[in-house]
Amino acid sequence: MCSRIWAVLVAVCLLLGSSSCHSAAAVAQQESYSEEAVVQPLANGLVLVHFQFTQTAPLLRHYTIFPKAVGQLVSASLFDEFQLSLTQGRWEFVAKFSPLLPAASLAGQWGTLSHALGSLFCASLNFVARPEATATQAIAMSSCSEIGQQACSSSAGVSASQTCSGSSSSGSSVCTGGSSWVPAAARQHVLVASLPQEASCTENLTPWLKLLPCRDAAGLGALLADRRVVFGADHHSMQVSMIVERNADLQPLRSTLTQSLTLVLRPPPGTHPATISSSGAARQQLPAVLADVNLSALLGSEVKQACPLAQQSRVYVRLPVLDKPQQQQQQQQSNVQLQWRIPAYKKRNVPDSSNSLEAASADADEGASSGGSSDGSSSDSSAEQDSSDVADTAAEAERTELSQQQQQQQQQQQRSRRRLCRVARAASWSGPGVELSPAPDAAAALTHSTPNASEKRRQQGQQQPAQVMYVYDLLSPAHDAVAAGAQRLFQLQWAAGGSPGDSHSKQLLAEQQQQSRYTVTRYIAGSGNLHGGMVLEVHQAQQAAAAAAAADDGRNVSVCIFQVVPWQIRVWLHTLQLSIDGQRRSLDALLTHRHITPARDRTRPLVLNMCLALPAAATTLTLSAQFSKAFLTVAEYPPDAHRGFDVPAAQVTIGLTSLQTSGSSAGQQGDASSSSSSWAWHVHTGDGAEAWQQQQLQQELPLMQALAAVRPVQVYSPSLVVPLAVPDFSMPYNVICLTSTVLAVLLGAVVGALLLRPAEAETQAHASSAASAAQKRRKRVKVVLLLAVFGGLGLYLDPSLQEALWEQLTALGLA
Amino acid sequence: MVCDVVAAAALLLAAAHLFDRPAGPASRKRDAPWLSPQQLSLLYLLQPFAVLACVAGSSTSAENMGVLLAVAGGVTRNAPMAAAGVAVGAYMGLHPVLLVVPLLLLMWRGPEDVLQHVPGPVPPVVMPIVLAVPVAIRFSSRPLFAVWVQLFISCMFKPYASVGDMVPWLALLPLLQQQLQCVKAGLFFVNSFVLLLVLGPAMWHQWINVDAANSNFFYSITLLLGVWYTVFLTHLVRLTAQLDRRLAGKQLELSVDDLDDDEDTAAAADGAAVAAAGKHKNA
Repeated sequence: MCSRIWAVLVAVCLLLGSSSCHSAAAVAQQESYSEEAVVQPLANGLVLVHFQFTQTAPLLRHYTIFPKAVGQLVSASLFDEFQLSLTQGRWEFVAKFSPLLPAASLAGQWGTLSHALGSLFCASLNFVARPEATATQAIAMSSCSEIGQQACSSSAGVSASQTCSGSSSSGSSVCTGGSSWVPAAARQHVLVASLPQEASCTENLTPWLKLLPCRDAAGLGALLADRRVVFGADHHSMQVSMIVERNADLQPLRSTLTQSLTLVLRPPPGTHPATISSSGAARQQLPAVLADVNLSALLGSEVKQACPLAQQSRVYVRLPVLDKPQQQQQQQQSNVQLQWRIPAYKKRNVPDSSNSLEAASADADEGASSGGSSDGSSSDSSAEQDSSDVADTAAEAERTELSQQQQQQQQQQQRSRRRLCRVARAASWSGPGVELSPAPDAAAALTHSTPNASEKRRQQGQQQPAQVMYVYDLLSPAHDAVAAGAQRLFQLQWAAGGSPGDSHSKQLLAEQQQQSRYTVTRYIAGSGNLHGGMVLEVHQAQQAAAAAAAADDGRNVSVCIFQVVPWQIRVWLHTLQLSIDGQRRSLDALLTHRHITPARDRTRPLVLNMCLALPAAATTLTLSAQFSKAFLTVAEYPPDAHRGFDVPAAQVTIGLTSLQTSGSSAGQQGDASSSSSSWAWHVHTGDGAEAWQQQQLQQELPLMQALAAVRPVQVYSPSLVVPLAVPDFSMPYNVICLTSTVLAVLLGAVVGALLLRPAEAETQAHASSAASAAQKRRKRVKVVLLLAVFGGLGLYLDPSLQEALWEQLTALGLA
Repeated sequence: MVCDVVAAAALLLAAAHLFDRPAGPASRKRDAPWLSPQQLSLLYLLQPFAVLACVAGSSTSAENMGVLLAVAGGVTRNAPMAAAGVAVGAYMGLHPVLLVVPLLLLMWRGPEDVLQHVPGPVPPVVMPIVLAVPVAIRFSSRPLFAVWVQLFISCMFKPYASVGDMVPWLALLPLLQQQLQCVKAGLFFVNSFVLLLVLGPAMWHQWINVDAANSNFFYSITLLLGVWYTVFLTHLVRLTAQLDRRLAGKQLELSVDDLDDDEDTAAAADGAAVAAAGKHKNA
C-alpha cells in the first residue's frame, strides 16, 4: 500500500465463527452513509489516495440508501464477514461465516456467496468456488486480551492450544499488559481463495460505484469520475468488505458495507518537482522527495457538490511525523518561515463524533450545514464566525420533529459539536514544512492516551503522535459556499527549499517515511521445467533490529506465515529449511504453531500456516523449499499457459510485543499496530490567540477507526509466477491423430498375426490353377465395380466434374 | 534394492523351474538354454534399467517384484505366491489390479500348467484388455509368451512411464529363446531401440532442462518408440504363431535354417542395453 506496489493475492475468507460475541443490544435502526478519503504523499514522489465509503443499515424490507442487492445477500447467506478486493487485476475477499453453521454445508454457502458476489461485481468469482482454489486459514494472530475474552465466551470452537505460553520459547511473559500479539488457533473458520489473472476494469468499477448512494455524481465519489486516472494508477486496489452482526438465531441485525479504493498516483509532470523521473528504476534511486499535491489536478476531476445523502464527507491529508529532535528543529524553523498559509479559515463546527453506529439522520446534518454561515468564500482570516449557535438553533428546530429515540442521539451529537474543533493558525506542533490551502478544518493526531486525565494534557504537549492528519469537511458550510471547484479541495505544497535546513528536513521526512520496518520478498530458485525452489525472506530494517539487539531482553517476536501453493507446484515439505541471518536453524526448534494441509492433485492446494518465534534482533528470516512441477493435461492449462502459474502472495503476520513500530508507521497501514488498545485520535483546533484545544474523539469515523486500529503488522509478499512445462498447443489434434494411428496399427497387426493361418494361405496359394484364375477374374470385376461406383458418385455430386467430363467427351467427338 | 533382489530370486525360481522341464518334442541342440537361471537373474540385477530405477528410488521396482513373483508363482503352480505377487503389484500400481480380471478369465490353463495370468491393462485401457483375451486364447499353449506379451503391452501403455517399466519384459526376453532364434532383422531392432533410448532422454533434456526444444521433439521420439514396440511385438507374435505351426508338425514354409546369428542377437541385445544405459547416464 505504500511505496511498494505489490500484487495482493486473491483471497476469499470464510469464517465459521465459534461464538457470536456481538451484543445484540443497541442496534441502530437507521441507515447511515459516510464517505472519507485520505491523501498521503509518499516518499518516492507518488501520492496515495484512499477512499472509503461506509454504509450501515439494519435488516429492513426496503432501504433508503443501502443497496438492496447487498441487503438480500445478507439475508440469503449466513456469513459474518467477507472481503473482496481487486488489486492490480486480482481479487481478494475474506468472508466470515456465522458460527452455528454445520461444516458440511459450508461448501454450499461458499459457492452461493462467491457466485452472488461475482454477479454483483461482474468478476469471475465463480472460479473461486472451486475447491482447488480454496484454502483454510487455521492460525490467526490475536492479542492476549482477546484470548482472555475468548476464554470467557466459552465456545466449543476454542481449542486448548490458545495459550499464550506457546508463543515464545524464551519464556518471557508476553502476555503482560495485553499489548502483544500471539498466534492462536483461529476462532472462526476462514476460507481463502485466490483468482489470479482476473483483469480489473471499468466493468468492475461501475457496479462498485453503483452501490454508493451518490455514485460518482456527487461527493467524494465524483473524484473517481476520470477512469483513466483510476485505472492508470501505479497501484490500484478496489475492496468491498461487509460485516454482518447477527443475533443468536442467525438473523442479521445490522450490516455494514465498506467500500474502499486505494490508488497510488503519479502526479502530473507540471505539478511535480523535476527530480521525479518517469522510469521506475531511476525512481528508486532518486533522493526521496515528497510531491506537491493538487488533488483535483491529480485525480483529473473535482467535487462539484457534496453528496446530500452522506452524514459525513471528509478528506484527510496524512503527513509524516517527525522524530522528536527533528521536530524541535522543525518547530524553530516553522516560527520563521514555515507557517500555515491560511487564506480562508474560520472557526466552525465540525461534527466530529457522529459514528455510523449512531446514524444521525442526513437531514439533521444537512440542516446544520445549510444553517451554517455562507460567508466562507471570504479570504479574510480574521473573520471568525461562531456558527455553533446557528447550528444549535438549526438542530433545535430539527429536534422537535425527530422522534423520541433520535433525540438522545442528537443531544449527544450536539454535545460533541460544542467541543469545537479549530485549526491551529500558526505553525502547529506537528506542522512540517508544508502549506495547505485552503486551511484544513481541523487537525487530528493519533496519540497514546493515558488513563490519568490530569497528566494527559501535559503529555500531549510533549508526546509524539503516531499519525497526524488534517481534516477537510466537505459538508461544512465554508466548503458549500466556495463556488470555485478547484478551491473546494486542498492544494498541498511543500515549502520551497529556500534554506538548506529545510531541504534537509524534507529529506529526513522522506527517508523516515520510506523505511518500513518489515519487508517480505519471495523468489524462485533453480532452472528448468521440472524442479525448482521457492524462497521466502522476511527482512527487518537495520535500525529496528539494532534497537532490538540493544534492548536485548531475549524476547522473541512471533512471525506467522500463511502461504497457499496451488497443487500444480508440488512442494517437498521435507526440504523446508529455515535460516536466520544466513545461519541454518532448526525449524522445529523455533516453530510454535503449525497447521499444514497437504495438497491433493486437482482437489485442493497446499496450505502452509505456521508461526515461528523469531529472535527480535534478527535481520533476515529465510524459508526455502524445493518443489517439482506437475505435468498437466492440455485442458488444464489456463489460456495464457506460457505465462506460468501464480503462487498467491504469502501473508506474513508479525506479532509485535512492544510499541516499537509506532515511529515507522508511514504509509503502511499494518504498521499502525502500535500495540496498545488505548490509542485515540485527538482533534486540534485553534484560532490565533487561543491555545489550541484538544479533544479526544469519542467515536471516530470508520476510516479513522481503521487507521487507529490496533492490529499486528501484516506484510504481503509479491506474487510469484512459476512457469510450467507446456505442450505445443497447436499440436493436440496432430498428437491424437498420430498416436491413434500407431495404436490402430498395433491392434490390427497383432490381431492379424494372431489370426494368421499360414497353412491355409499355403493351401490357397497352391490351389489348382483354374480356381486361381477364377479368383483373379472375380478380383478384377470387383475393382471395376468399385471404380464405377465411386466415379458415378463423384460425377453425381460434383457439377464441375460433370462439365469437365462433358468437355472431354465432346473433344473426343463422342457427344 | 530389496525389491530387486526378491524379484531376481523369483526370476531365478521361475527360470529354474522352466529349465527343469523335459525339453520339447522337437528338441535339438539349438534349443538348449542360452543362459542358466543364475545368469538370468544376475542379468536382471545388472540390467541398466533396473539399476536406474533402483537408484532413482522408483516404486517401479517394487511393482516389478510383484509381477515377477506372480510369474514365479504361476510357473511353480504356487497359487498363494502368485496371488501375493499380484497383491503387491496391485498395491504399488494400478495396472496389476486389472490383472485380476484376466486371471478370472484364464484360470490355470494349458498343458504346461503354468499360470496364465495376464498382467496388463492400464488406463489407455481398452487396447491391452482387448489384446489380452485373444493373446491368451491363441497362445494358451504358451503361457510364458502370453505373459511376456502382456508385460510388453503394459509397458507400452503405462501412464507416467519410467525406465523401470521396461525391466520385466526385458528380463523375460531371454526365455523366449525359440522366437528370438527366428528373428531376422535382429540388428535393426537392437540398433533402433538403442538409438531411441538415447534420443529420448536427450530430447527430454532439451525440452525440460535447457528449454531449447519444445515438446514436439520429445513426442516424436515417444511416437517412434511406440512404432518400434508395435513392429517388434507384431514380429514376435507372428513368429510365435508360425513356430506353433511348425511344432505342431504342420506344413510350414518357414526357413529356420539361416539362423546363424542367434547367439549374436541375444548377446547384442544385452550388450546394447548396457551401452544405452551408459549413454543415458552421460546424457
